[in-house]
Amino acid sequence: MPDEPLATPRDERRAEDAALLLRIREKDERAIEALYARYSGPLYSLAYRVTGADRYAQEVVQEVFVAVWKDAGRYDPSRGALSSWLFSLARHKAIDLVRKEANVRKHTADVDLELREADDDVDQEAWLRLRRDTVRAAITQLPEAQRTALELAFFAGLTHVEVAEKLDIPLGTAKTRIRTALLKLRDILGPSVSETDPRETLWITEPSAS
Amino acid sequence: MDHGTFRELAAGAALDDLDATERISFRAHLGFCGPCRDDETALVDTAGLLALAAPRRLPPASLRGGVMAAIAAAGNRPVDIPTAVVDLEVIRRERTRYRRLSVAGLAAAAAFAIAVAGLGASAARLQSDLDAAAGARDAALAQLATSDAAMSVVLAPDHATAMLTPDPMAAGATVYVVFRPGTTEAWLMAGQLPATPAGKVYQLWWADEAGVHALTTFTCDGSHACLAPFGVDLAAATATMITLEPVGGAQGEPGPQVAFGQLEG
Repeated sequence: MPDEPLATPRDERRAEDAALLLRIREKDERAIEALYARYSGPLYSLAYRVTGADRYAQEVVQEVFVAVWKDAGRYDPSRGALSSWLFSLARHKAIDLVRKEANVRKHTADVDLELREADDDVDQEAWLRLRRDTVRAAITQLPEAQRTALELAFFAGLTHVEVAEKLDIPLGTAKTRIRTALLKLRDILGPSVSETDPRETLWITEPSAS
Repeated sequence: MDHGTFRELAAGAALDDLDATERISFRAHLGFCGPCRDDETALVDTAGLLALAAPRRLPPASLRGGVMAAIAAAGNRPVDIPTAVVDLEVIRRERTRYRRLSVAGLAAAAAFAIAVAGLGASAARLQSDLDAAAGARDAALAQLATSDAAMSVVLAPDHATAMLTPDPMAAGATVYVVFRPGTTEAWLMAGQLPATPAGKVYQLWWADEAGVHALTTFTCDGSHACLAPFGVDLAAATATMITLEPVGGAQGEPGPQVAFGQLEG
């Protein structure tokens, strides 16, 4: 596992999260803009990965930030990092969209953990690239069967039952593969996982024109 | 379920792929199991990091403007949340010495005041039609009696309060449980809960270490705050939940979750 790119103490990072969310609860638009600058890129990437469509990815990102603006108090720090909550919101909204709009993405269950890069040249943040590489390297260490099951559950948004049907395996096997994959990732990535820093997902490159 | 079973549920919880029974049981278990709480937190964060594996894509430049416009349209106050409750949130921030339950109790009282106002208006309107609508009058009076019963719990010095977190289908709702431990005086108080869809009812559930238990069903008109009695002693409860069910209530597994909250247990 590579060295941690950031040395900011965990408590300080959590305090920054808390301060940002507090400002959002007080309706400070600069705070929500700061949050957008930090997370819009990774959230859009995730939403695009799940929905497979630009306009739906945009819709997801907008819904996430509006939801945070309306009710930042719903974030519970005891249940994980701020980034985890935001990604979870985005993933759920994206999956909901996919299910509502069945034609959005006809390749819903396609497995693509080879992680093709559409725009390799735009990310200039070395530490972000490092963290991404770390996560991807960890994923490649998973056995193929586990990797596939986890991919279907996370990015394709399939339920455990649907994963079992898709792979033609018993439900218990599907659950075990997904759970084991997640646990292995946790072990590979180590304790830093629970200390995800928002700046690890900082997105400071200029957005492209639509 | 034993501890091992709950540990197996942690990954499903991190991916939000538990059924309603598993979810409420697991959340209830977390209330008194530190290792499982730690497990869940780590797995939630692992799932969060997994998002970084998505191929990078830049959002279009126009998205930022769209997001900020949507935020401006949402206004400077959280929508669909009663002002009184919002003000109490300010108190919670500024006066951190307040214990959590005390603040929640105040918020419940505020929500309850809204409920009473709504019911009062409803009863006043019905009063003019008493001769023609005796049944409606009786219903209104029953509602007021219900509000009296709930109010007595709110005002009791030994009451406890907990807030439920609404699911997306009830986004913006404010939901509290107020109860007197050691008695069956326990009420659900909800503001901005969506009107119950035709052919459906809301149903209360509670969980303890023995499992998940179905309780009464109720409906909301969507315009007033609504109340519903638990009818059980929640002293040993670890969680409560509202689900959406067909008329008549759940026939086995709980339906879609509307709101969920953990109690002290």
